[in-house]
Amino acid sequence: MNNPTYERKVDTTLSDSRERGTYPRVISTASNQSTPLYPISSSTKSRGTERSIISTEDHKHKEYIYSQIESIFWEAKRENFEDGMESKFSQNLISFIRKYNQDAIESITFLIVYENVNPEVAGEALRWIGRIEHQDSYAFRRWLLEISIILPSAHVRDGALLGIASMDDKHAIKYLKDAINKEKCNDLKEDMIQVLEQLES
Amino acid sequence: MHDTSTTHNTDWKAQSLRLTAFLSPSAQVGEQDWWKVLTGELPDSTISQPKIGVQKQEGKFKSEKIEGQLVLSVQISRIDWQLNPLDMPESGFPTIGLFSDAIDSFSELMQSWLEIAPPIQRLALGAVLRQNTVNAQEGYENLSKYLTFPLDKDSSEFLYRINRPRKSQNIADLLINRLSTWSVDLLAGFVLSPNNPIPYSLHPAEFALSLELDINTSADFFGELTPEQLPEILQELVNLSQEIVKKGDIK
Repeated sequence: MNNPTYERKVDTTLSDSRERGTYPRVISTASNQSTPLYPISSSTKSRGTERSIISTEDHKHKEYIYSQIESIFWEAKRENFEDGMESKFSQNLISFIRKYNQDAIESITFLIVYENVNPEVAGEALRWIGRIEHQDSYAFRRWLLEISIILPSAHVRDGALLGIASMDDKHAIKYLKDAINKEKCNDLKEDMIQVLEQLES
Repeated sequence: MHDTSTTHNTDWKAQSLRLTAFLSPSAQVGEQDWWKVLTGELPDSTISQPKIGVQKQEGKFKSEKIEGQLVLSVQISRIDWQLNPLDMPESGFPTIGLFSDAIDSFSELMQSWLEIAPPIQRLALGAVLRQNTVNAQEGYENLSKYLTFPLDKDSSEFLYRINRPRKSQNIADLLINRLSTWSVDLLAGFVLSPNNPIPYSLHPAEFALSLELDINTSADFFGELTPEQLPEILQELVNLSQEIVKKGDIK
């Protein structure tokens, strides 16, 4: 006969709720706030910041998400992108973000910031990241664009600039000004100045 | 229903405390030894998860009044410090000590970190607090003292979350979200068999009022929090959390 294992658990409701099928929540000492990574959209439902990605389950979930986005970026290398036109890549990317919210942006951030993807595909991704309507991931998408505007690849900076222009959020002004000061490509610098004027107007 | 002019039983215990720093796009975090700098000792464990861009360090932290497991988690866009209980106690909810003591020690530690932290765009203070109560009915009665409406003692499964943002007293145009989540929790033992988990109580059920706090600076704030502002902001977050603990859900 197997010895039963004993675990102490906490139910967030009252005692009789167990009979109605609410699942108890395990208390463990190893962390337990679950929180979107760069949280906080402007909607009232997302003002919280709790979350951690430390648990094994979260780790597996994240690895799964990472493998998904890696595949999407990998397949996109075969595509030819046309300015402003939807593509299989953009459709996949938008679906991915809508499905996984901030976890999606986190994985995309990781790929782009650590230059683990083709720069042209990264640039295309950033254009769409600034364009899509998705409130839950808004602040994190904006953050990704603000960080990408100074990354080494000109393709990436160009994509980030277009994303910032689409978002049209004055929050990016400070980071755009910093980027203009650092930009060595004259054409891109001129484009940045134009977008800055747009944001300041 | 509470009277906003009064304060309540402050015998809240902290189950966990958290400081989250959302990094500025200009921040660059490479190798760091913050855990050691803050505690004077090496962490018990260091885990790197390069595939998902996470570094984690943790170890025992002890101050005059509290002890717990101090966890540092570094990710690409945020840094989390958490103080959690060391072990699951034989009885009662696991805690790291009285909230009043824990928040003092934790905020002192975090103030030290802010002096060496990378550029930060947002700051958040989180807490999970417990206050023991005899049973569900008494729990609801006690919880009502912290809320703006009475709870029916014969009801169940109450869960209430609210954000009451306030303007910062230190920085113009900065809004601080004050999220609080209120409930009464039950701690019970279960025996888990391989095929069919059968509820089996080794101890009497234990109840506690539960308060989860998430006090954070708004994402809509333009710019970064300067190194000079960070200590003031953290202190403001601490003060706001203490106010909710004492006065309940107030505007």
